[in-house]
Amino acid sequence: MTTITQPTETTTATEMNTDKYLVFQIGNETYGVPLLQVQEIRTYTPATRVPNAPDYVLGVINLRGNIIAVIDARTRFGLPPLPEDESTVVVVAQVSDKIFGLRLDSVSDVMDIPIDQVQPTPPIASEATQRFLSGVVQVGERVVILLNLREIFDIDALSSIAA
Amino acid sequence: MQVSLKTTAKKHKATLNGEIGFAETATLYETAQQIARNPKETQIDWSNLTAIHYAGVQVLFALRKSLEEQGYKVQFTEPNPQLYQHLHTFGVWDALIQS
Amino acid sequence: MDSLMQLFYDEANEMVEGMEQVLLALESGEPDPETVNALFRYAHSFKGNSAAMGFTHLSKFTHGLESAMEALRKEQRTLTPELATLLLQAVDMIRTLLERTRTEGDVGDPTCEPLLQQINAVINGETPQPVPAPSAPMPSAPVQTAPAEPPTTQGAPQYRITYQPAPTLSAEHDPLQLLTELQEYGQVIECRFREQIPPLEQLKTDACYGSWELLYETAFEPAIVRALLELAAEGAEVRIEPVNAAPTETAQPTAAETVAAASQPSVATPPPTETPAAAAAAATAAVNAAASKGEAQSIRVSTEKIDALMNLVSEIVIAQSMLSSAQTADTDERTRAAITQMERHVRDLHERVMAIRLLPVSYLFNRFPRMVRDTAAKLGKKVNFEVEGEETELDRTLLEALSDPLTHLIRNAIDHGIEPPDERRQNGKPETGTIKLSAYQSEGRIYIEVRDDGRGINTERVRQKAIQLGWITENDHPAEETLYDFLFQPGFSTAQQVSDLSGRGVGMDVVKRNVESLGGSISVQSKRGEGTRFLLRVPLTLAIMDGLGLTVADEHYIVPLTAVVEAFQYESLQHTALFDQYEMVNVRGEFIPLVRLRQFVGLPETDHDGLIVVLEQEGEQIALLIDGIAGQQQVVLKSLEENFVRVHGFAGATILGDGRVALILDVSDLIRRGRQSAERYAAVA
Repeated sequence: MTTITQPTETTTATEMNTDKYLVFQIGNETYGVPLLQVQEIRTYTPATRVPNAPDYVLGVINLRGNIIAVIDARTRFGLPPLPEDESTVVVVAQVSDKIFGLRLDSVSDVMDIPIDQVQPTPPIASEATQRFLSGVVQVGERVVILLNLREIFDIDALSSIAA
Repeated sequence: MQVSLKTTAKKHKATLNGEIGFAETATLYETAQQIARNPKETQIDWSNLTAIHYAGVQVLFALRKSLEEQGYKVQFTEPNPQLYQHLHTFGVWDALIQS
Repeated sequence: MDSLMQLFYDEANEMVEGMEQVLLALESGEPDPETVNALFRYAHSFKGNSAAMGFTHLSKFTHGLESAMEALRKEQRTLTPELATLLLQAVDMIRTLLERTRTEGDVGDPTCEPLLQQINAVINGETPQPVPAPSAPMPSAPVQTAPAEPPTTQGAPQYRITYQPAPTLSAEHDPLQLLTELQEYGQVIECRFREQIPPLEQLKTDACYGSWELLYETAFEPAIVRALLELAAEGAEVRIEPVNAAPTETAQPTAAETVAAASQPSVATPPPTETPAAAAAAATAAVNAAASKGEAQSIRVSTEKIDALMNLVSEIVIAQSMLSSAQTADTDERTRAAITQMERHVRDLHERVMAIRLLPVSYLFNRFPRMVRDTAAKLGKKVNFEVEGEETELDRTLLEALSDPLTHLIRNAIDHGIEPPDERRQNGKPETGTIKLSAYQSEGRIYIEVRDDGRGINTERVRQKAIQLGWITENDHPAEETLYDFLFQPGFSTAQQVSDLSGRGVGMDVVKRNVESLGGSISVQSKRGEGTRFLLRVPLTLAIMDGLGLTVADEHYIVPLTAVVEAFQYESLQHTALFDQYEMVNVRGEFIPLVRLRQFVGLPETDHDGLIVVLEQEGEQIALLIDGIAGQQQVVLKSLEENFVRVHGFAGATILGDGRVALILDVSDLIRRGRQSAERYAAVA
């Protein structure tokens, strides 16, 4: 279940320009994606493997009659995947006009992120994964790394999976 | 005020102005009832009436019939040309004017 | 744009297409009085409709064309190529003016008058002078969307209309207002008002006590009148009867859905009572009365409604398959029987609904004769364009999607395939080349061929090009098929122009991609000096098919049942492996290539014996080695590309009864995999 938490700073919310972000852990870091891009959050159901797809593509699932791909966030970030448990979720998001799912270990909450205070990402990640990041922002004591879903679900890179 | 009524000892004069849409039909009906309760020779002045919903037309018809039953006549003044065209083409004018 | 305006444009487009078709048909045959009449009727109808919409320039021009047609009819002139060209130019002018009405309103064009004069001059036997093409768009005039004063619909059909409004009046429902709107689409010649209005005390102000009977003249379809009167409220009773013996117009249906209802006998007297259609705010239903040729009745239905219906049927198929798979050994007889019956009904429903989406390919093919004529003329080639199998039916969306690929292929055939007349003569060929477009159905698929008797593909040039691009080396001599495959690779045609190959700019790779995204495939055959044949294969139904479940390890794949020939135990067949690599099995004396499904889908091999399923497509066979068969089921084909990408080897995916996704194998890709073995084997054997 997701819960909404208030930002820990005591500033008048009306003066800050904030957007709501869905925030979660991958490994030791906290990441966020714009809530507007998130369609829904589902419990994880096994995906059907797609032969010859890259390893970060877990497969495809049935989303109310539509076939969508599910990407494992940890694998995408170069981390070994974890076995699923009750808290494993799939965040369903829309990028361009395609819907896809991102498998996460868990989802923390929804946060108001002050977008004026977003800094460009320092080179904290490997080159490959750097492009997945679109900025960092300090919210209270937490550092939230904002994700670029379009890069994560890079359709062009997949463009057609050769047999 | 789309519908106004002036009553003298001898007759009623109802003046219809502007447009009488469906919403105003109720007001027209009330005025018609006032006339029918106190039947006299009646004149309907609609020279300034540009449009009327069919429901309003029916009220006028019904009024005419009620007054005629009691032996009183209803006289319609020269209509606004727009209104005339509207009612004439579809046979409503003739039916209304004749008795 | 309001729905009546949309209706006008829909019908206008149909009429313009119809006029063009008739002209092209006339050109290639004897002037048949019936077809000249048809031309005349189209022009006449269109003239009336555009006048009614207030597009006077359009109407006047069409009137001029109509008069010319009338003269043509009377003088019984033959339709010479010059005249045909002029008339086709006139049709183009109508199209242009029509387009302008959308953005600029009622505007004309300076070339209208000269063009009409030209046409009349030719008809009267004078020599035509060249006419310039329509000029650039006029400076914007105020846009008129409201129709003008009552139209001059001389000679327009007349109708006796009985109108009993819906019993409840409201702000939106004012019968007098509705009747007034009729005046914008025609003329009220006579009208009688009938009333049963009670005296005042008994009057209910929101009840309707009146009805009307009128004599009305309009060039529009009676259905429009009906729609107008039924628009505001449900429960109106409208009767429309044509009065004169004037035949009511039929326009040829376009890509809008036309559902053929039971065919009615002909012309002047359609059934006197028409059942009241359900009033919808955007009335999109129109009834085309039977033409003098006695065509079946049809109605036009909005595509959203059809799509919604299709989706619903797909979901029903899935739900029904879930129900079927939920049966266990304990399920009682009655339930089983009910489920079986439901399967039958669902199948029937599916077929019928699919049939609604099917349109004959003629809708697609019809636009080509004109294009061929114009392109050939422009390029100085002589081309005879033949069409076969136009009645073959295809899903509506496929039809639209095939338009671009086919246009490209045909253009290329004219440009690169067919030689100039001199060259043809020198090679002992008739000066006029032939391009043949044909369609047929086979094995649950639709095949479309574009065949030309031109130069053919120069395979040596292709090989050289591939070497140039670094795809192969000088020593490689790939099989013809492989060389043809190169044609479809991106980058092949965009390099230096090779004049006797098809492909320029847009590229064959785009054509291939387009066709494949529909779940189809394209292949080519060619013979130097004799000609080329492109074959497009597309699924008959986009959505639902019968599938066979195949298992390898714990994975479940589906293959179309139409491709399955038979199954064997692997052990029971003689198998051989060429160079330990290319495997074949002997099925009744014939060696066919073996493809291991585990390998195909990237699973490790197993020791266990498996099953062989023989698959066939277009005469080519492979033996697919699997672990087991999971049973037959109706399968809804879902696209992988919609939210993911095209995956080679798979035609799509489907949702099984338990909600899991199963991938559907692409038989062509399997066969291609097997072909390699077959080639090697043939080389050695």
